[in-house]
Amino acid sequence: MREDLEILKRSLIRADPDAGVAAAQRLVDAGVDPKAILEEGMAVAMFELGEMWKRGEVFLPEVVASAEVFKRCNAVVEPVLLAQKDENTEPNALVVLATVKGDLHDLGKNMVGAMLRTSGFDVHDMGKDVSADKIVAAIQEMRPQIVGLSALLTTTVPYQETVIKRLVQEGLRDQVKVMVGGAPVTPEWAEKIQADGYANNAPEAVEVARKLVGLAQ
Amino acid sequence: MTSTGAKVAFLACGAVALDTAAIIERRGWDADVHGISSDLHMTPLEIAPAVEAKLKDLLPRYERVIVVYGDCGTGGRLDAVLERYPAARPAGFHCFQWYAGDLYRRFADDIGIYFLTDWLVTNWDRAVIKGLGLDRFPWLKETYFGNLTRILFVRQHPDPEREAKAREIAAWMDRPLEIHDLGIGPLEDLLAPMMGGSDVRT
Repeated sequence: MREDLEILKRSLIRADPDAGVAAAQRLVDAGVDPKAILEEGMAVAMFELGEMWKRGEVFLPEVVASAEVFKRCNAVVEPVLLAQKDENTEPNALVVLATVKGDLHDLGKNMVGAMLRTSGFDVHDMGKDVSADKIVAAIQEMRPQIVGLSALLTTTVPYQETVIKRLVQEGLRDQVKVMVGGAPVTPEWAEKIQADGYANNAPEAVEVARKLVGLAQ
Repeated sequence: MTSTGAKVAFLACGAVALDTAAIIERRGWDADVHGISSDLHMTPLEIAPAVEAKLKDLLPRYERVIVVYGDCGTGGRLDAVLERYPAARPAGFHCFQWYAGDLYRRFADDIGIYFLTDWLVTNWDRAVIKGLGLDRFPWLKETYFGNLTRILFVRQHPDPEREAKAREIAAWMDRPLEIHDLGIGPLEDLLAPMMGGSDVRT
């Protein structure tokens, strides 16, 4: 198990999809707790990658590639994890994620979703080009603790504010924390539109989410 | 004072610098052109500081600077820098928007379009394939481009070799290609008013 966990971590950091998926499959087949695979293998690798990013040791292509490998490995591990959950399992904090209307860029959102899952959150990913109407409906139906709004284009960033205003209009604003992110998004913008949280990378998004739900200070 | 005596400097992204110089020459404007790397597009947070450093270098010698760089994902950080100096830039988010002019407005709601310009086609292998890591991770192609529906090549200068490359790119992305010959007029229409000249092309 240890050896395959190391291979899994190395594959994620080096962005080797074939070796990563094979290691994840071997771990699952060996009956290793999927939570351990996520927390001790995949999450550790992604946080290490985040640190390497901060230190300038890796660049955007490496991070994007590793995120894609993570997605493929997660497709092996997550179904086993979900199958283990039953009605007695304490639900995790739920995060609804969306790339806002007019924007098809979902790499960042996907990375945040993956990191949140490995950190003990349940994530409902609404995908890309998502309207305020759909986000409102999802919040009314699922009652998440957090909604995360991603926008990569300068032209679509204002839609984050549109969504927040809709939440106010619908009387939902006090029921859900709003996180915003995306390359052009700034802390000043987040403050201006009265978002509850802002993060400029996936590991930071996890930290912010943990604070918003009271899991961290 | 500059060696040319020009009072205005254009600080142009490498992706538009040649066309900017051509417009200046055609219009006979008394202005110099200085370059700034188009590679900053890959790291948008570095654009505003890099432009500011150039402004500090240029402004002691010029009365004002016209920055020909799109917002390019700075999220308004570039405009915030320009407000602090006698500097301005054409409105717009990306250089392909400047080149596309009315066409960009017409297709503004079609979010699946990928725009090519002469510069992007010419520099495709370096800027896109290498820049996005597709040389090392070719399996990321779908991750980057899977959401697109079609490609619009807003062409400045027709060239058979470049057109062949654009078709090769479209085939590689497996998306339909449309070519629109728009020249550099739309960019000129944006720059002319900033020089106080007519915004009507002659």
